[in-house]
Order: sequence, then structure tokens, then C-alpha cells
Amino acid sequence: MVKDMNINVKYFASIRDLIGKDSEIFDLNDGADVSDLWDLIIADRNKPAKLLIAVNHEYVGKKHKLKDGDEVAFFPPVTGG
Amino acid sequence: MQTKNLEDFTLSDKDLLKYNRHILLPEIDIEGQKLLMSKHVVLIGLGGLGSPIAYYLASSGIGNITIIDKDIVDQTNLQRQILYNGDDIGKRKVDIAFERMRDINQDIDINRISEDLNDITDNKYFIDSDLIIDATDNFKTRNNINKLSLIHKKPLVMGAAIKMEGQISIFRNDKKNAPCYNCLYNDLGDDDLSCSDYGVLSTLTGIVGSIQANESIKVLLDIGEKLESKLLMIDAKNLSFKKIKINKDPNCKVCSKKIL
Repeated sequence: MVKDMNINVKYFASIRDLIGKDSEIFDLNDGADVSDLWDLIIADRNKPAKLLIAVNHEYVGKKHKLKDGDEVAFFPPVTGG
Repeated sequence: MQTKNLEDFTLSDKDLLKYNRHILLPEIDIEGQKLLMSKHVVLIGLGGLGSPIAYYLASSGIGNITIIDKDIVDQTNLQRQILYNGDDIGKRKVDIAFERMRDINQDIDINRISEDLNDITDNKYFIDSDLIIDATDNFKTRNNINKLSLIHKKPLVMGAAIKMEGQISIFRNDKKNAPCYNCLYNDLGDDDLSCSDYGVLSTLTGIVGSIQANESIKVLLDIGEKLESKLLMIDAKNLSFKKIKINKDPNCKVCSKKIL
């Protein structure tokens, strides 16, 4: 089956440690949203309790629909100090 | 923000020398320095983030600074909380911070409140302020600071740090249609990580606190491009920085409903 969308994924801070790399490229079917992408990435790894997402440098929710060429960044919340 | 009559603020010969390196900057000049002297900033949290912020607010000549922290200095603070030294263990943080800030600048007013933010009932310091800085260490308090800042319509400069990662943002809670803290971190709940459980790199708190102080001065003077409605993420381990835009959440439980 032909994949329609080329998505550039970036991992930041502790999410980068969890995945073990700072970026990778995914091919996804048309209509996929951020949570579809995240499920594919996280697979059988331990899910972080909380996750923040930016698409093309803009903060979005998990149900944000992706389009070809999007850059998706995953990063953790920080509340300590 | 409140506008005070700048005619009431004069620079003495000593002030002209003390603030010379500010006055030399065309973005600040004498008028900008008077503006800083006319401002009131509330700093909540005198830990790793609050330490450099307290120093820079005082040395920069912010005319009125309210410091809030209920804690006592302990041995585990000294690795990063540069306001304190070994002789301060067992003393109230607000008292030591007051002394250090006073040592740097005798010409500013400093109000100290040694109470948990969540227990403060007198809101006069918030009502009178021009800007609030969140340098605390947990989600519950941050959430309350966000609500206070919305109620009193004050800009909020938030900073956070844990392990080797930090985040900074400015929430223009004094303006309509700007995102608030809860638009970003809605329903994060109580399962947040704390530095006492996970650790934090000493220098990271200095970097985050210094950027908070930097952005606070810029908001007070309205200069340059600021972190307003943006989130700056810092990965100190890989020295990587990323800035993203935050939009107002039309369904935000805090700023979009008529709870205020």
C-alpha cells in the first residue's frame, strides 16, 4: 500500500532519551493524526505519563490531523524548579 | 500594566553611575531606567530559579519587588540556590534573599512574605504589581499563580526546570485572546516530577532563571521580541533549544470560561 505522507519527527529532552535518537522520518497514510503517529513510535516502549506535541513549531493536541511534509516534535512537560 | 508618573522618579548622580551600562543601551536609556524604577514585580519562589531572578531584579533597579517563599534554607539547596551559603541553613529564605538583594541595591523597596502562596489571602501585592514571575516547583502552585495572574490581569513569566531540561514562557494574562498556563498544561494533575525525586543540574536553574529575568525586563520596558505566547524548551544535556508557538485553547477550563 502506498503511503501518502512524509512526516519529519523530532524528539526533545527526555523524550529523545526514551526513543534513543533526536529525529526520524515516517511515512503515514492520508488522514493520520498525531496519536496514530505516536502509537507507531512508542510501540511496546513504556509510555511517558505526559507528552506535549508541536506541529510545524506550533503547540497542538493529539487529535491534530497531519499533512505531507509536517514536522512533528514530541517533548515532555516540565513543572519542577 | 499600570502607568505611573515617571516625573516622580529622578536619577541621582549615584544612580547615573550605578545604571550607566543600562543607560548606554538605546533600548533602555534614562527613560527606560526610570520606568524600571517605577515598576513592581512579584517573584514567587526563591529556589534554583528564583535565586538569579532575585539578584537581577535587584541589580537592574526594579523599584519595588515582592518576594514570596515559605521555605527554610537546607543543605540540599546550596548546589544550585545561589542566594544562600552554608551559614544560612535553618533560616527563612525570604530573610536571606532580602539581605542579599539589599546588599546589591539599597535604593529599592523589597517586601517579603514567608507564606505558602496557596495560603495568602491578602492580594494587595498582586493588585499593585506590574508583572508576576513564577519560579516555583510544582504544578498545583503554578496553576494557582496562573489563576491569580488572570484575576488581576498581570503578565506572567513562567520558568521550570528538572533533570537537564527546562521550559520558559510568558502568558499575557493581562491581554484578551492570549493563551494562559492552563492552555498549555491542562489537566497535568499531581503526577508531576519533582527535583527532589529526579534531580536537577545546577547550571540549568541558573540559565532558566536568567532567561526569566531577561524576559521580565523586556516585558516591563516593552522591548524586542519576547517569549509571549511561546514556549522555549531547553535541553541542557545536548545544549539544544526549541521555541514553539502556543495558541489560546477555546475550551480552556481556566481562561475561557466565566470563572473569573
